Amino acid sequence: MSKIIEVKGLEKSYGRKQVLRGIDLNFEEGQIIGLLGPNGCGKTSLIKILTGLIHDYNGTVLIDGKEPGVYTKSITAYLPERTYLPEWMKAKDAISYFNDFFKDFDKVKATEMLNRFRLDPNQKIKTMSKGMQEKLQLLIVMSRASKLYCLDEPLGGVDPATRSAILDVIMNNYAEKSTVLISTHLINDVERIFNSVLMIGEGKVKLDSSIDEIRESGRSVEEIFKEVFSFGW
Amino acid sequence: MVGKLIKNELKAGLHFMAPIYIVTAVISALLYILLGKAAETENAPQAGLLILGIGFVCICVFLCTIISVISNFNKSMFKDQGYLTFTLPVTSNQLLFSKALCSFLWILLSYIITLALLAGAFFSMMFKLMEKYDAENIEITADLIINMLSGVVNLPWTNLADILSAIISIVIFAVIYLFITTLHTVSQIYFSVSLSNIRPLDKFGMFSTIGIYFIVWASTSIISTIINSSIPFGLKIGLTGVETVADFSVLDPTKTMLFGIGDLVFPVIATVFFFFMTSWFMKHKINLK
Repeated sequence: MSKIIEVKGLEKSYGRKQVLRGIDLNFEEGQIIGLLGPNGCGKTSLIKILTGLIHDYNGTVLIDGKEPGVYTKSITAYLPERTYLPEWMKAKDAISYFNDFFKDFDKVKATEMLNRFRLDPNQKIKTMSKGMQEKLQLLIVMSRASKLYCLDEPLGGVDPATRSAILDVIMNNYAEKSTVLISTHLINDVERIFNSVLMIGEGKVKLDSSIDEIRESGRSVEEIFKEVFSFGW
Repeated sequence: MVGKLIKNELKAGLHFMAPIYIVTAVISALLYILLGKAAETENAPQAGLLILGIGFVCICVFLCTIISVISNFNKSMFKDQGYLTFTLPVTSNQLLFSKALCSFLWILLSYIITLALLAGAFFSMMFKLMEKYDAENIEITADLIINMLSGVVNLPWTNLADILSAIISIVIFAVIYLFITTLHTVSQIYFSVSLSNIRPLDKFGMFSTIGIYFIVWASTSIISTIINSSIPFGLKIGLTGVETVADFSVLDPTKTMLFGIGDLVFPVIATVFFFFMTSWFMKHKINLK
């Protein structure tokens, strides 16, 4: 199996505040990776670097063997923690937009999911509720057959029933052999789908382990998370 | 990919610009009706006032276009929408080119609307006067308008041929000059918005953008003036047309407009510099919040 993510000596600062302090990572394709850590630990910064949104970092970052750029953006599906679709667009415009720019986008699949989620293709994004906007973004991102999916807090701010539906969408729609990187702090809900877990704290990798190794230790991901970060849940 | 970027950029721009054009159409239609009535009664002060009103609409169209261009660029690149824009599989130069081209087209369209509004004012008066005097000859009607407006402003033309000759040379010059200044304006806006989104200037939000734009505008204006005074060669634009001039001291600034090397060549160089810097900021310096 080839490596989809290779990171060596990654450092990132915002002014005087250093958020990533020499991160080393290697992930092979075909995994679902849980990116865990407390708020402000650098999860989003790491994802932004992988998706090519942040350029001023030190260290080496390779996605499918290439530095973040046009090629890596064409094989990476990114779901940010905020609504990034223009407000003037209708749901059908957003689908056409992705169809225009991403060769791996499946318009039929997106339209099917739109119907399944009971979203009106003619409804403007501006008039959708936050939950509807999140569903729309998720279905658009998961309609791509990408090599890498970077999902930043896809479960943030939604009720438990929707969380379960979102996880089903992710599990049923990610392309075979692709890698899914999910950043979350809702460990309980998602630990069942992980193959690997990466815990980041104080800008460093605190734990990089397969789920099998964690299970062999007889503890849950949540228990290990509490132990690593030493605070009550 | 550039074609797709342009297509989507124009689509996005239309959503910002359409309301401006609708409001402009309604207001100008109203002004034209009033202007027609003023022409019919040969009420020169009222016609002059209404032409000023149309001029004010033109300024508003231009300002609203500029504000929309700034807002659209800022939103789509540096706010939440930037998370989509910067993760598209395109280079920053392709992104910048498509955005600049569309902004250029919107600003150019605002100039065309301005010209159309002013031409519309002229023709609405002309048709009303033709109706009133049963004038079949366009030349007679033009003379009637000139005579009427001469009561308000001092015009050097005596007949239609004078007007046409002056207009043709001015239009050719205006097209070239508008092309240069529009691109220059877009490049200044993009540079200012991009620079204001880099740490630590991003802390000050819109104030930072306005401040930087003012500094950029003032600096380029000063440099342009210095170049103009150092190299006395340029074009003289008056109501009689466009002429080259090598001695600025003989010109009467109240009757002519002078465009030197600093107005015509320097903006081209500055535009290339601003676009290059904006592209560099996008590649190396921008951190989306």
